[in-house]
Amino acid sequence: MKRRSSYHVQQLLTYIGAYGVLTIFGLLIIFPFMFMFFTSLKLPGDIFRSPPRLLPFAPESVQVADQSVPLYQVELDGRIETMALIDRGSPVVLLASVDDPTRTFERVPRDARPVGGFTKQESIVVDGIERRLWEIEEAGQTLRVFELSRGNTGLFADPENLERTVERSLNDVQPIERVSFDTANYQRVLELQNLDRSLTNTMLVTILVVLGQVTTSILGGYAFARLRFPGRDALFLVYLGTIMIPFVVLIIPMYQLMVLIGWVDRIASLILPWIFTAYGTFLMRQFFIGIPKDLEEAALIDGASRLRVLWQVFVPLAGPAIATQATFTFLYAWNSFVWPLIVINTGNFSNQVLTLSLMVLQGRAADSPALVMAGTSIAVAVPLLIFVLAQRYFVEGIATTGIK
Amino acid sequence: MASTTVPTSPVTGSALLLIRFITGWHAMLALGLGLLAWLITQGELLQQDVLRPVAVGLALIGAVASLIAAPLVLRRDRRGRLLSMGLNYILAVGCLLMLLGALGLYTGLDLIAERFYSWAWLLVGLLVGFLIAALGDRYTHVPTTQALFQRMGNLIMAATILFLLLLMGLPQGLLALLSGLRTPWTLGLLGGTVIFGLAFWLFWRPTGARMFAAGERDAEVISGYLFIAPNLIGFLLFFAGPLLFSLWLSFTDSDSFKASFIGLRNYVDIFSLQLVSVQSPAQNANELLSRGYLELTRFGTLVIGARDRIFWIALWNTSVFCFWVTLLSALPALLVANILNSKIPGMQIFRALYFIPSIAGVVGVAVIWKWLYNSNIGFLNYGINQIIGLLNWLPGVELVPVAIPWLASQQTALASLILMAAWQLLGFNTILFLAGLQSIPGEVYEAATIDGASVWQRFRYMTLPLLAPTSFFVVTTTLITTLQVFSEPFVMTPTPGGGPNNATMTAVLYLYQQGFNRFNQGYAAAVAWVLFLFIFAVTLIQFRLQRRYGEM
Repeated sequence: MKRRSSYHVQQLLTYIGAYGVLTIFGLLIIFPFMFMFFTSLKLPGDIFRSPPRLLPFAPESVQVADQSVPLYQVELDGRIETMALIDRGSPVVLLASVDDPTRTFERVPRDARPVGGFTKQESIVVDGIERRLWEIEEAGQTLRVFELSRGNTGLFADPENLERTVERSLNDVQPIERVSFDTANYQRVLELQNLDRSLTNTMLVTILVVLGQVTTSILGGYAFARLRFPGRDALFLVYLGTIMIPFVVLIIPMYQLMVLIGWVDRIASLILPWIFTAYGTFLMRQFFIGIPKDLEEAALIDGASRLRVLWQVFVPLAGPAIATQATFTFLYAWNSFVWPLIVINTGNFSNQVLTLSLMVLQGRAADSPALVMAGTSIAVAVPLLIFVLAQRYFVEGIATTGIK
Repeated sequence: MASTTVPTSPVTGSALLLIRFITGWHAMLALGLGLLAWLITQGELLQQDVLRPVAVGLALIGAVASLIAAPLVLRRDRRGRLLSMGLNYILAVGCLLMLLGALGLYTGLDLIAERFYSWAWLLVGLLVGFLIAALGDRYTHVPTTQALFQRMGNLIMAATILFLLLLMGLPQGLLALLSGLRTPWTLGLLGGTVIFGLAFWLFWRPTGARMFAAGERDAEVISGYLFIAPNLIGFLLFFAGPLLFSLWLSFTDSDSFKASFIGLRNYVDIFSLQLVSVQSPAQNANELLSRGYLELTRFGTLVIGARDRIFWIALWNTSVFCFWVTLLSALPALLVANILNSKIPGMQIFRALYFIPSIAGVVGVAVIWKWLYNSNIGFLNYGINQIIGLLNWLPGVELVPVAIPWLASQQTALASLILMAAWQLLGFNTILFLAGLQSIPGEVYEAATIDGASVWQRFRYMTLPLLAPTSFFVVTTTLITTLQVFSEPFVMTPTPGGGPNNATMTAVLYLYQQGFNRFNQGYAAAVAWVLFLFIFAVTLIQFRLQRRYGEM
């Protein structure tokens, strides 16, 4: 009995250790996507925060005199109270004395003089943070002070009793916020960069490339697997060899070919050259070779044509292989970036694909990550959906063939 | 091909007429193609200098083939039939492709994309149909219900496709294409397609086969070529042709409009290095180096100068990137795969989770990470500072919070790209390792456990050696992928990419900048071939090992 329970304890510890490691890795893997998704739902004012915050927040507000005003936590007579900001006051600078940092002053900016002038203002380092130096008049004396923070004052009122008001620097009050998902970024990004058109273009390109690749590789794979013709084996070796040749060698000549036949900046250049695949043909051939010959011979003796045999005997059997190839082709077509970058002009909004728009967008909207992340979410969502629907084929596909 | 002597079947008058007709046709064709070749050399038909020799060569090959085919057909030789069919097929397809081009089908894809924009939401119908059909699989015990669901799903999908095609204007589009058949050029191409197609068909039909006493064997040969033809034509047009073209370009100074042959000069420029020694480490070596050379690096007083300094920097950066990404993505993947391989419930979920970065695509991931790397509001510095805060609780630890400018600093920019790429490849490599682990029989472990082997011993002396083929595969695949790194630095560093101060300049990025920012396309092609040699070496090792370890 005792041995058994120690075995159970050991088993439990193994479980906890395994799940612990997997969860840590899982969090590291998934965190950037959580960041993407939550940032895409943020309000413009909620983005540039230090320290950063993962979840999107919106200020809590209340209706005062037919107007929506934000709520703050304000310290009043030693107690923290919930009050509404009914009016923004004047800008203030919070300053601390250089000689005695505990002495702080609030000033309107024009009452403070920068030490060394506005263009070359001097600064000192306090607690590891660089602070700007100012001079102010205090009780008839000129004091050297450093800047703690800047802000506005605001007029706060008790939402229950509007007569009860108090003026505070906005730096001294905490806004009341709640988690809120703002989907307006998606709407805006679709309009801003013609991202909706890029989305449908990418869909069209991907669908046609997948259909084309599957078709040509089924036909070619069948010929290599089942039909004897002179030069077949040599040709197959050449096909295998081409798998070793990376795309980089083709970039320049393919671009010049596209210039020659007038396909630069055309959707055709994203589809037609890519519907022929040595790898897919190879995969289909490997699969077809494993199908017993009796099946097709019976059909051929009955007078069926080769095409009919392929369509009615081989294709139904090759379902999983086709699905695997289709899912991988889908991913590569959807995510392909280098080729569209070369042949499609980034200024041409009507023939862009998502990867390209995303690249342009992140340059154009560098100051609003929420928009960029909304665009990225759209680009990632579709492959994710396909992955969820066809997960089996992804994992099996890699496991059996290791295709990349 | 072994020519079998089959007794020639009696030939009827009409068949004899046909054979004579086709013989005459091939004689004419040979003449026509010869004329075409001559016209091209005169510069009448083709403006592009580059293509002229190729076109002349092709036309001459066609003319010769046609000349050979004519007497063979007349003698009713089987080979004559095959040759004639092949030639007519190629010419028919060529005419058809050019006709479609002249009618504007290829450029018309832009219009299709525009229409698709309005009607793409109909694809939801496909999804619904797919889900309904998939729902049927829940009723495998009731075959009629299952069939009903599947038929319904298929019907919805078919209807969606039909609707989509109609709404996108398939009929109008076809009419518009046909209305283009008015110019002499398009009509000529149409005529060519029909005539060559007809000549092909006359021999293809069973009657044609009988005239040459061709049996099942020939039928199979023809089927074989026909099945491989779409693939092969595409392969020649968009792979083999450009590949040879690329090799030729690398010997030219092409700027994408005109090119002249300059021999090996591009390669010489790429590889030119010079060694000089300086008196003191502080001395500027660029005065000592020959004209056109710039200091690359120095060891003590020995200075290496290069004519194309950035190429070598790019090569070095790419090597560093490859090494670290392979290491950082393979080792954690090995650990994670070993854990996933233990039969604990819930592994599928983790396996799927780890795979998500691989499906997300480099551009999307790079855009996300660019913000994570932000030195002020990025989560990476925030996370590091949180950890520093925790460590500061320990006695004697006094760490200062950091604000690392990840992508903006020359010291950390490449490391940032490495970290991100390793993160993205981790899941893919995990699944490769997992597949390798699952192919190791469990009995081996059980025996070792009974013999008292510890977990580490089992891993070190059993798992690792048995996993060697997978490990080599993982390493070579990662190397091949990472040698071509481009999107990461291009997206994450400011245009034109590769900064700060070439810290993230990679080989393909350099190729891109040479080829498309400066339009030194001949030079870029040479860089591509140099890079290709590196990748090829890795691939060759992979193929060798794969053969040694058997099917992976």
